Amino acid sequence: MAEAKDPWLDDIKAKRQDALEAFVRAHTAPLVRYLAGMVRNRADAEELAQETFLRFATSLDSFRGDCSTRSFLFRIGHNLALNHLASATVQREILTGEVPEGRNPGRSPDSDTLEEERNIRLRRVLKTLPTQQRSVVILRTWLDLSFREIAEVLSLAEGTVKAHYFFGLRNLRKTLEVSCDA
Amino acid sequence: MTHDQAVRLALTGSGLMPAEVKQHIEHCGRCRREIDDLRALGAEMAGASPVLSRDAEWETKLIAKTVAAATKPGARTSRSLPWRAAAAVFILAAGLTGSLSVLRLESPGRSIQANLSIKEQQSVSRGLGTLAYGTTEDSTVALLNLTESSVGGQVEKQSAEDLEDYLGPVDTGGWNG
Repeated sequence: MAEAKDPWLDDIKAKRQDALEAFVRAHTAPLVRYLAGMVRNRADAEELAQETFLRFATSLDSFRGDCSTRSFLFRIGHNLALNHLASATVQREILTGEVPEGRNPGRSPDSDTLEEERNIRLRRVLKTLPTQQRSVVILRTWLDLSFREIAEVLSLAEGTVKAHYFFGLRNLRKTLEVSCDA
Repeated sequence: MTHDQAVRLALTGSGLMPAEVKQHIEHCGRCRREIDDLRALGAEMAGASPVLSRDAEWETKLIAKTVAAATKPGARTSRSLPWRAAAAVFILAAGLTGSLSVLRLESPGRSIQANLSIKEQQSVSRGLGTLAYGTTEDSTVALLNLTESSVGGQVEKQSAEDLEDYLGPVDTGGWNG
């Protein structure tokens, strides 16, 4: 099956201002969300996102287009997040998760609270996963990236990414079962 | 086909599973349960994604910085490549020149010649020339001449008797009885 052409590639490589603006606008929120999932701190995630976009902008000439522009951006962000995790004293702050925009208004506050509690627990368990598994699960479930794109972002083989996803979900389930029993 | 393989393929495949996997899952309740569980967990995890409120001011600044970084003349561009290549060639040339001058200063011929008289220096030069351009026999003779002229003046000649005295009796190590 032929891969869809990257809609951003030509305009971004040509450094068209309107394309750059639209690209940053479209990818800021997903990137911050991914980085927040990785470094577990929103302020750090925003700082890393800013650094990611700057590096992306200054690396455009060396970008050969061998992966999608989105994968290229997330690869830079991923590497910065890994550096951050390796170097900084990682703050153990758990994302409290702000109220999602556009939440279903028909739901009762009680069910919202229960759901939010469950979400917080899931995010807390997510942080116990090994880094590679965590990256794959976040990119797949939160950002809906294909396994192929995740492989490009993490510079891994697609089969390895699939294995990380499977073991990641299985480990999550195990940890959730243990925390339920406790 | 193991349970793990079947579940992994079912969970991450594009829907076109090999017949072998399909058959295994059809007949294995344990695999079907695990596939359902993990799919549900994946969906739940997707819903647990934090939706962070957008900071419009920060985003505007970010866009401006990114566009400026991409389009500013000082940014890494292909136009700077010839300059980088020129700089690399210059550094390489400077390094080579430096290395050559160090080698010339420390070459054995030079250090030997520095301590010799004019006549001896001429002999050494002839020897080195023969070593470089002559035949194998010429080179051997030249090497002997060179050794004699460079070492001969510095080491006192010793007779065979002196050498025997110096070395002492030969120890055969009991090899012949």
